[in-house]
Amino acid sequence: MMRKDFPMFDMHITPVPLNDAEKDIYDWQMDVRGLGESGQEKLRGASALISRVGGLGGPLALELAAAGIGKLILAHAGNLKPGDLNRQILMTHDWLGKPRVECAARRLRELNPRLEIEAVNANIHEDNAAALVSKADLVFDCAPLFAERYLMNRECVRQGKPLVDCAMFELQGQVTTILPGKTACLACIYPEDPPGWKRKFPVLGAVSALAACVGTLEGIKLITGIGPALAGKMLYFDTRTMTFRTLPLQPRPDCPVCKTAHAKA
Amino acid sequence: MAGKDEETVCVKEDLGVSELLAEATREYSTAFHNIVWDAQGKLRPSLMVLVNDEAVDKQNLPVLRDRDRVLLVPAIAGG
Ligand SMILES: [Zn+2]
Repeated sequence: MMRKDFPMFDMHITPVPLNDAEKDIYDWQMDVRGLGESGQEKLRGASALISRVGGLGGPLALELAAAGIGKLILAHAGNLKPGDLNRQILMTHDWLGKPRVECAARRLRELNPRLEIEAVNANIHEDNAAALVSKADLVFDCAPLFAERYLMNRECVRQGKPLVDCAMFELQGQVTTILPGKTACLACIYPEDPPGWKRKFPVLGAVSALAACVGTLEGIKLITGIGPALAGKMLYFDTRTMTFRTLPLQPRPDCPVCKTAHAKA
Repeated sequence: MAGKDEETVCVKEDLGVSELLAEATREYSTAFHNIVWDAQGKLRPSLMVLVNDEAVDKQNLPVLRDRDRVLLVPAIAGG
């Protein structure tokens, strides 16, 4: 029988051995085919940057914390407002008016006190993008503005880090995994900052969380190798009609962001 | 984003994707117009156009066959 393996992206993660308490906590999860103790040790040794921990990045951070990732770097500016509470499930009502990233870190530590967290009370911008991306093995893009998304894309391509790009609007979502030098980058997919995009978008928390869970699985697959990621593909879903499609993505030969990465690969 | 999820339409034989989009633009909202077309009347670079889940060349849009499914995927960034 011929077997066709999927291509892996070597992230050079050093596994961290589990102690007895961790073996108990991840007992059920290590039974997932292909994961085992060695996959759990890779998760324990991995670090991820999550840009914004709101409606999408919040549940994503929670699922990564639950799955036993070693370190999270959370970048999110601003204080909690009432209008955040319909979807930002790491927040608590009593935290209104206080920094959201601190509330997120507090909630994540309640679930997983072993998790190392670097909470940055700032969004991704030109001055911090390179440094924040350099601290992580992989990046989860959950920002509500294209300018931030393009910055993370540029830095991930430049530094050779995988970028899991998760987005939603109303009842729809899109998730893709960008592997520098191997797949289309965000600027290949969306070569212009879409002029109609508005900061305030219609959102149900369950749609954000669905995109977040798909994104989390992408990250877990990249770290542990338990299955092929959505590399060069986009999962597109519309929950109004419950339509889920996996769409092909092609790198643009003239993409100013990733053409050098493709030439080197 | 344009206020429609999906629609099944009967069109004349050998209708091109570009003609279909032009016709839809006349029927649908201004929001649809702005997602699909730029100020020069060209398809927006940030719009993915797929026929039967395969990406099409926007410079050279294909002619549709019976039961083809055209999917428009606009750029979104909600988080
Ligand atoms: Zn590119």
